[in-house]
Amino acid sequence: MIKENEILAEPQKTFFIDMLTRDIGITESILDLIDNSIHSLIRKKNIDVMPIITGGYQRKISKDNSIQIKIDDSKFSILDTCGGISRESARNGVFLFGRSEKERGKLGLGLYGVGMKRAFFKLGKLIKIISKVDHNIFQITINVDKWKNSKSWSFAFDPDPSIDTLDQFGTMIEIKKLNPQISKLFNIPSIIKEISDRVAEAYMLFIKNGLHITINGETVESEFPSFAVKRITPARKTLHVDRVKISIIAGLAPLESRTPHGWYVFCNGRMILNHDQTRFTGWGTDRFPQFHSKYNHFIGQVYFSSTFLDRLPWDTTKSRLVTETPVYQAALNEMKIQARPIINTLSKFYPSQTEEEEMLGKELLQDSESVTVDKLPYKDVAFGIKMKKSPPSEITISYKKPRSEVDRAKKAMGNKHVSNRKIGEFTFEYFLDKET
Amino acid sequence: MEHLEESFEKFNYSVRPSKQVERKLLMESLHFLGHKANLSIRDYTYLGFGSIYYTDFILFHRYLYIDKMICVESADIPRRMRFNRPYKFIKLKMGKISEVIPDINFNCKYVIWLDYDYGLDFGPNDNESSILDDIDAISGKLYPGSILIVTAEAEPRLSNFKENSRLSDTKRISQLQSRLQETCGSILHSKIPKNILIRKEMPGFISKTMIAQMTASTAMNHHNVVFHQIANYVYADGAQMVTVGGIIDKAQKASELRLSGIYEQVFAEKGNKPKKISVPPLTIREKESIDSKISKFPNSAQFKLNFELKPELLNNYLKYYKHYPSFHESLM
Repeated sequence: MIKENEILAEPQKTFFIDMLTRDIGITESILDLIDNSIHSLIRKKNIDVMPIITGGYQRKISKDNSIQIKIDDSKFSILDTCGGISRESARNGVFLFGRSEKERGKLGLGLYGVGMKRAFFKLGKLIKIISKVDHNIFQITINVDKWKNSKSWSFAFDPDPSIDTLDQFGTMIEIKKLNPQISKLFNIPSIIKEISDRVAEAYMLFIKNGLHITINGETVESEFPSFAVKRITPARKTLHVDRVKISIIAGLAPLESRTPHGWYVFCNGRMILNHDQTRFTGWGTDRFPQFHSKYNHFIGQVYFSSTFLDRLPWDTTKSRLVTETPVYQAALNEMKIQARPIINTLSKFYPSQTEEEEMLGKELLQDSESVTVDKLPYKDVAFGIKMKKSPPSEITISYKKPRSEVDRAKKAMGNKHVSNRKIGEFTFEYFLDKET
Repeated sequence: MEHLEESFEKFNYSVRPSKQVERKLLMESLHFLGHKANLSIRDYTYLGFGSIYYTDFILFHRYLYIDKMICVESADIPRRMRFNRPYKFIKLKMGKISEVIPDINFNCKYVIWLDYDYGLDFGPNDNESSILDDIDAISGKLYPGSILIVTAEAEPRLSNFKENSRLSDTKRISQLQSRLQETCGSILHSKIPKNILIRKEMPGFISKTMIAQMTASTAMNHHNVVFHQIANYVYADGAQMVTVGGIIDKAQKASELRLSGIYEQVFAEKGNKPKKISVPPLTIREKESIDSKISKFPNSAQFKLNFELKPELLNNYLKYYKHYPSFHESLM
């Protein structure tokens, strides 16, 4: 019963179960669960992966820390050895919808208090969580339909399982009674491959730092993007804005890598955007050009890192940016500044205007070496290229002539099957011979 | 900037009377700000386009005591620039300003004067950054208390002089319209009408656009600052040039600036309409004759001259006579 002057505004469970889950894809949900494991690892072992990119002491993730994911059409499970959840934080923190306080003071990947629960609801109806820390182990089972219909918002501990249920300190999450659409998709090999590729990209820094992730028994391997160097100097710029460190690296991708790159954006080591070519990273805003195939070789990376997790520009899905934050605005301004000379260079290399410059661009990339981002020098520097002083010794001349006249020339040359190119060369040489 | 004529080849900077008046006015305003608005100008870093003459560098060092200076030069004349460098402390950065900005440390106060010799249309079609791009990049980064001054050409013609002379009048104007649309359209949120592409209207259009860009880009600066416009004027020694300038600082600085009296100065203009600064070319004898008649509050009506000079020009001279350059040939 509500009072006459009262207006109902309570949250509804269906909002969490059916609505919030619409904003997120399956892969993002799985990534959310991995984020939880990694967050726990970062907190317990003081892991900072940024030195890979920015230099400094690098604390390696130990071989004992791993994340194993198993996916089939009846069950999803993730088992980590990343430290586990204590009974205390399970009781009054981990399962809350939304955080009661801002996450500050330590690096990490979890800040909103929505990812794990949303992932549960997205994937299935029966969720079992077992976690072990020190000599304690607990188990929680969530039956989503039952919970939905009960008045209470709380979950309950099951009787404690045997301490040997988990070999090491860590957490095991098992999701059964998969939602029908999810179950169907988990049956498609290409979907599993897609998930694996996304995991490889999103956690490349953690994987490079020693984290072992497997999906259905296969180890996820990661590769850092490469930059062309030697005659090209990629730009690097470091900024500090509102206690967030921003590292920007931008340059040209090697010749063999023709797939469009654009910008990669990371928050605390976790990739948020990859090869972005949209307005979120400045393309097509104000006078900055739209992405175009002539910029395919542009590659830029932005790393945000802070212990003030709420100041990082990620949204709750961690696959989009909150672009209006002062931190992101400052970064975007700098990204455009650093990208501008690269864009101008690529525009000059692009065909049509002068072929000479197109040649120079190709030659520049051919002469370059390819180096992964972690091998670049750590010092701030502007983008630069060293052009060879002498212009190419050969140039191309092209012009149009009526077919009948060309045929006449061919006839005069005594071979009507000769190519147009040959006839062009012949007439030019003839002129040089007679007139110079 | 291969399609542009290098302006140092066109003229010796220091002998254009209006330019010289502008330079001295700028120096005076910086002086004024230092004294009355608590800006320690001598600790600032000056960044400008020195050209081989380095005129403003010499002036700013001698009279404002600035000794942190960066000279940006886009013409491929590194040896000539080094040869002519008047002080060793001037850091020389060869390249276009858009290539130099990525390397600049913006964690200190700057006086930046981007004294371009081309217009707002230049840029995208030449695979270069436009003036507005440079303003955007710099305004978004400047440290609170910094001063930004930008001069651009305001003539209804294309900055690419080859194109300009190749095209017929009508084609040139429609080309200019479409290029300006490309560079200025987004910041003005409007279509650029053809009727402003005439000599009389261009200065107002150019200054309005640059002010809009400075204001918008400063709002994105993470130091939480605003653009306090101080100057907006136009002069012509040949081509009309518009200069817009101001301080990038916290919003609270506004009252201090008002109280300092800067806005009552002859060069100050807070609005969108540029003030006209033009001084007549005078012979030395004419100048001396006028000067000898100047009382405490000179007024053109009181002057009886022995030669013809329009009252308007005389008035202009009286406004700026203190800054009027006098040139003598000297054998060295």
